[in-house]
Amino acid sequence: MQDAITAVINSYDVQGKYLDNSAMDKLKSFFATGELRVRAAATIAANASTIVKDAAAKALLYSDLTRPGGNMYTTRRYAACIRDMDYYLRYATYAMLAGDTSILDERVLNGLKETYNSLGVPVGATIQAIQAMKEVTAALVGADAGKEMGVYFDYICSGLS
Amino acid sequence: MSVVTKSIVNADAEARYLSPGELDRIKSFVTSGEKRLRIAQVLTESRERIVKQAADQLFQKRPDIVSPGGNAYGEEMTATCLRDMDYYLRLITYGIIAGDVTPIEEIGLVGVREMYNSLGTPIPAVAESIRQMKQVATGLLSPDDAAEAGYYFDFVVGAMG
Repeated sequence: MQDAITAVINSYDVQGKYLDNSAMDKLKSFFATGELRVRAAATIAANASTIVKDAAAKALLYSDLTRPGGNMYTTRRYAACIRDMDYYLRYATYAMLAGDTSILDERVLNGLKETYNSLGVPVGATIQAIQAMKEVTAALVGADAGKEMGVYFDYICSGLS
Repeated sequence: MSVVTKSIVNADAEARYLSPGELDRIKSFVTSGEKRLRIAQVLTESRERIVKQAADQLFQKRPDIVSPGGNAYGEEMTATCLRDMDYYLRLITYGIIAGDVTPIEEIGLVGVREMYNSLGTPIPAVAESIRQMKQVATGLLSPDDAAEAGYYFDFVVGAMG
């Protein structure tokens, strides 16, 4: 994986270039938002289970999914569902801290859609749950950090659809 | 890798959020971002001067390498020597930006002995060139910035020593 800094370094190294003004500007804006990212990550870490719980209530619980025949019916499947939401929240938080989506490609999205399809997990409902986490998280961390987290939640969703 | 990526990889290996200690380290890294960019900018802008003056010092100290039979003898070989010095200076600016020596290690130190040995390049002379670049570079920086930059030059020298 890479982060906003190593992404710049890697792309310049391939060309054998010193960092120029456009690279410096990118790095500057990452450094300038660093504290915001760190603060948001701390808040999310401290409230992760609440975020998952609220988002599940918002998007999943009162639907056909939790009734017999639904994909969240049986406690085992229910647990697997909130475990996956937990994963997405944690990885979105990593990516937000890094300011880079590569960790999502490498450690979340690679093969995910195929896995869900073969397990019969409804991708539409998964996306709704992730969108619900986006809303719940934004309400918790504030507009600026919420918008930044939104980038990575959306990235997971677009990788799934 | 930067301190950001490193902390994320460690946290992910244990499937957890970053600890308050890890977040603190990232915070102090991003708050030192401006300083890092400033140092990298000075070194980048002065790269020709740093390489040239350091090479002059090196050739004075080690006249053997630019004499017949020496590894930097002849226009072409001298140019190659200067090019390698410029490579290391560039990698050092990457390390300063990343706040981590991993970019320097991965790009320019793994296998470096084997490479120079096979080229017949005396590694102590390469190390000396880095030491001379440090001399010139730190002279262009405030004491505080020089100390920060010096760490990365010393790391390269240490890895070659």
